Amino acid sequence: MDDDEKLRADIVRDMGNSALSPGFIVASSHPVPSRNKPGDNPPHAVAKAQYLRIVPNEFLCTHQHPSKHKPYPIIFEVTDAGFAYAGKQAATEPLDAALTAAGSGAAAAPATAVGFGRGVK
Amino acid sequence: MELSEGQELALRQLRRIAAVEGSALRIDNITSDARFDSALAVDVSIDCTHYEQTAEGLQLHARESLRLWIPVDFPYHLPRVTTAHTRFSGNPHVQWGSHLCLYVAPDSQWFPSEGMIGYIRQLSAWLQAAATNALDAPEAPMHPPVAYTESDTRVLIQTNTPGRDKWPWFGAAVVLQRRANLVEIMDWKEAYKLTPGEHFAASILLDFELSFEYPRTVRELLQQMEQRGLETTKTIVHLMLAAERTAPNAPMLVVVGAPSRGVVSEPDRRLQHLSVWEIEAEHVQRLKNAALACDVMNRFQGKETPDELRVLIDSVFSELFKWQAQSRVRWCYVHENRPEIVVRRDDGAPAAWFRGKSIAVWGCGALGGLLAEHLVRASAKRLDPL
Repeated sequence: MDDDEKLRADIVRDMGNSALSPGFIVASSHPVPSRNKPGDNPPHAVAKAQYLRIVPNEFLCTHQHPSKHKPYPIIFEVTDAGFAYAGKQAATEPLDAALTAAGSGAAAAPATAVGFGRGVK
Repeated sequence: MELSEGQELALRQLRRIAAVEGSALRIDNITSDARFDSALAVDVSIDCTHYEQTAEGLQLHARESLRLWIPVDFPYHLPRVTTAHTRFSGNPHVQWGSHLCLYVAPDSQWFPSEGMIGYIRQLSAWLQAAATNALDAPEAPMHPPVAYTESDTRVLIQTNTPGRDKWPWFGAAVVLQRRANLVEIMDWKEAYKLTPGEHFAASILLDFELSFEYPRTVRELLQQMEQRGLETTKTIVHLMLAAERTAPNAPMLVVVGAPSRGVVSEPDRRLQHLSVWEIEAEHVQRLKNAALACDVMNRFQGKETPDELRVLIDSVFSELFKWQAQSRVRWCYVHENRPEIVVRRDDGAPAAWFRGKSIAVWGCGALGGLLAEHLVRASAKRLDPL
C-alpha cells in the first residue's frame, strides 16, 4: 500500500450499483488488519472499508470466518429459494428497539459551541 | 484525527446505539475528510430485513451501508448522509444521486438535543417510508423537484402562470430587467401577442412532472419530455422561434414549468413549479441559424437546392444536434413571488393594512424610527418621515 493511492470512487459506485441482494463479498486472504502501514501487502483495511460500503449482505474473509482464531470454511448452498449463505448471521432486532434502549441524546449541549452556524472556538 | 466536542458526542451516541444487544446498526469505519469542512465520516450499516418492503418502494438490500457526515459544530448543524452507490437515484428525497434528504424542513424538524439518536430515528423512518413508497404522505405538501443552478442569473416570478386548462402551454413570459443578473417575470402572453422589442422568456408549461432531480444536459431534458409524450421537434421549433426574436449576442431564457406544487393526493389541483433555463448566446445563434435554414428550405420546396446551400444547411443542423447532444442545461436561481403559491408571513396580521399605503411619520426618534422600519417591512408604498 502506497501513500499516494487514490480511491476510485467511480469503480466503487459502479460495483455498488450492480450489486444484487443477497450478495456477499468473499476475501480469500489472511485476516484483514484494522489498519496498514505504507508498503504493506494486501489485505488492506481501506479496501475492506470500501467493500463494506457496497456489499448487500456481508463481507467475509476466509481466514476470519467466523473468527481468526477458529477459521471454518465458508459454505454457500443452492436452495429452492436461490443462493444462500449457510453460516450464522447475527440476529438483530428492529432499529427502533436499539434506539429506545440507547435512550435520548446528551443531557447537555457541548459547552464550547458559540452559537448556531458559527462553529466552535 | 482531532475531533470536536460535538463529533465526539455524536460518536459516543452512535456507539451507544451499536452496543445495544441485537442492534440493527453497526459501525463499520470511521474516517475524517478535510475536503468536507473536516466533517467526520462514519460508515454505518443497517440491517434492513425488518422493514416492510413493497414492490413500488425503494428496493433495499439486506444491509444498507450509509456514510454519516458529522459536522464540526454538531449538534448545532445536522449531519448529512450519503451512499457509495447511486442505486437510489431518481427516487424522491434523494439528491445528487447519493444524498438522502431526511428532513423536509430541518429548521423545525431537527432537534439538536436529540443528537444522533434522533437522527438515526429519522434515518430509520426514511428507510421504512422509502421501502413502501410512502416518503410523500398523501395529505402532505409535495417535495418540490430540484434543478441544480449553474447560471448566475436570478429570476423573480411575480405573476401567476396561465391556468391548467391551457397546459401544455407554449408561450412567452414577459420580463423586466431592473438590474444585471436579476430578471422579473411580470406577465404571460401568447408568443404572437408580443410587441416588437418587448423582452420575454420562451415558456413551456408542461402537463406532466419531470424527474425529482431535473436533467443536467439538454439531451436528457428533451429525452425526458419526449418519453412523456412531448415531441422534441415541437420543443426545438418553439426555441428556434424564440431565438429569432432574441437580440444579437444575448442569451435566452426558457421557463420550464411542471405541475409539481401542491398536495400529493390531489394531482388535479397541482400548480406549476417553475425552473428557468439560460441558453448562452452562442447556442442561441445556433438556434437562429437553424430557423434561417428552415426558411431557406421552405423557399426551395419542390425545387432542387443548390449543392453549396445544401452543405451549409447540413452544417447548421449538425451544429444544432451537437448542441443538443453535448450542452448542459444552465438552470437559473428562481425566486418565487407568485400569489398562487407564496403567502406573506404578515397575511391577515394588522400590519398588512399598511401594504401599499402612503404614510407620513411624524417624529422619527426612538419610537418613530422603529415604527418606520416596521412600516417599510409591511410594504408601505411611500414613507415620509417628518
